Amino acid sequence: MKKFFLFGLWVFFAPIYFSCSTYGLEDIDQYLNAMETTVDERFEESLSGQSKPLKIPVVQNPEHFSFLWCTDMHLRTNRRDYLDKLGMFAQRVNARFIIHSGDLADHGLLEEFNYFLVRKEEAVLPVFFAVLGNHDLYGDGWDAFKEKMGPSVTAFDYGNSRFIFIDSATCDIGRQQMDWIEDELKSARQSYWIEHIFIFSHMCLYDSTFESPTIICDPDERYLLTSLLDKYDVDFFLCGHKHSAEKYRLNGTWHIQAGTASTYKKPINDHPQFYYFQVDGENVYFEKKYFDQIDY
Amino acid sequence: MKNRGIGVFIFFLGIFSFSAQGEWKFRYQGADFIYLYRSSAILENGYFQVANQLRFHPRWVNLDLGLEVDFTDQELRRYFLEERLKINPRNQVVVRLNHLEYPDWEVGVNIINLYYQQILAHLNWALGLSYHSENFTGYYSDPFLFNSRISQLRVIYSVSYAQGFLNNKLFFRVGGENFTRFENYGYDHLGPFIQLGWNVNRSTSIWAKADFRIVGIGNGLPHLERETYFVGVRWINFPKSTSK
Repeated sequence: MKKFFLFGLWVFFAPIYFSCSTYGLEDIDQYLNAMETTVDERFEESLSGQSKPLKIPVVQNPEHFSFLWCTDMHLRTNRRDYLDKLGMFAQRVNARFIIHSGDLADHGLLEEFNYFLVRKEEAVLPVFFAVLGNHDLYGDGWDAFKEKMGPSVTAFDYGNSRFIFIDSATCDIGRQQMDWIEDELKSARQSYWIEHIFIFSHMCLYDSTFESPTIICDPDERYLLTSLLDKYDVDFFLCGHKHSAEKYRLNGTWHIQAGTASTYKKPINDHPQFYYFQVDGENVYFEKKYFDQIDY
Repeated sequence: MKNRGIGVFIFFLGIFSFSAQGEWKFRYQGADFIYLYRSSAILENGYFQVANQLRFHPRWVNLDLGLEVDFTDQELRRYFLEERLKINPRNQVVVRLNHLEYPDWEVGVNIINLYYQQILAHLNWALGLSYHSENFTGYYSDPFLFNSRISQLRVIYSVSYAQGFLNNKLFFRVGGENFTRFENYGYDHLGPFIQLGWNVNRSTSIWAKADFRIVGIGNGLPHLERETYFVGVRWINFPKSTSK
């Protein structure tokens, strides 16, 4: 009976060991920290202004602008990164901002977020927005993220587009956030100046043929969110987490996973990458760029 | 690409393949009546389920038809059609077509489950695969539409330990599963449950079950995502004894 019990414990905890880390479980404390807050608590703190406010860059041309998008940098203080290349590309194409879809800091440590802010200045990055990922919740977790990076949930308009950041870091959305997402989508479609809607999430809505534990967990939440994307004609759902490069169009919405932007956690089926988005009136053009092909 | 009819094909393949064999006789095998309450971020409602077991052949054709309706506001609908191939009383292969629809959201999900089930004196386990496909506006009510653009495969499992006591008047079952006859939870779900029951007589039992869905295991962030509480009655139509 004892052996059965131990086997049951192993079955329960083995996925934690083998999940999303280069060498398996590194420090159990980081996972315990990650469970200190719920998605509802982070949502309330974000919308009540208890996080670092975002600075939206000045709009130069509301119909024509560009931005960069990447995900899963997994920054560590002792590892190289692609921030210099990202900064140089952003300057070359005059990208107004960069959006990152989660897992900016590999261990969610305060020192890793501080390290990023220093590196951001060194690399001369434009305005940088970070969506919350599960690794950002490890270590010092939500407290460090909201102080250094900003809210877990937010929305803003830039030119003719609405940008919505959602919190799927713990693989759930929650009722409050779901209602807020619908309100944001509804108000975007009621705003005459909004032509495009971009949603940024750490976890995706769909996996490849064989489902793995890398997408938003509750099937009901996935169905409802998919229904909202369809109902409000969302242009892009941009996500990460799985470290896989995937792209498909469903009911008019582009669902894109951008692999990783990490030097040492490379995409399982591609090379480290980011996307270059150009908004041109009623059209949006996007192009995948590989870091190892950028040589300035 | 739309694979309309794939579910029908799989279901009835077994039925007609063995139609030449003897022992064909219809029998109403029994029924389940279940009230359940689901509580999650998205769903918080009561539902009523009913399932009927129909036997046409003791080995090859054992059909089960199930229907769930939203007890409170009639928004969510689920139903299934199941064929159970009984290799012997303890070992079975089950094929089930599940349909789930959310009329408010205009989303429908069709699922084909194929699994092997073994029912031992105390241990009951099942392992298999499910293939599920989501349909949207205009198509969500179609139970046979499989749209391969958003279809996925998923491992399904169930394992439980059952024990009777007080001369089997009472029983309990504990275990874990990521599917029921009406639902498929998903890969990243651990579903511990406990069930207590009372065998009122030989053919009728009343039971209660609490089911907990734990998610986020693969991310190292396990948390309780849904609780479901059931109260059910099972009635089995045993053949009348002819011995005196």
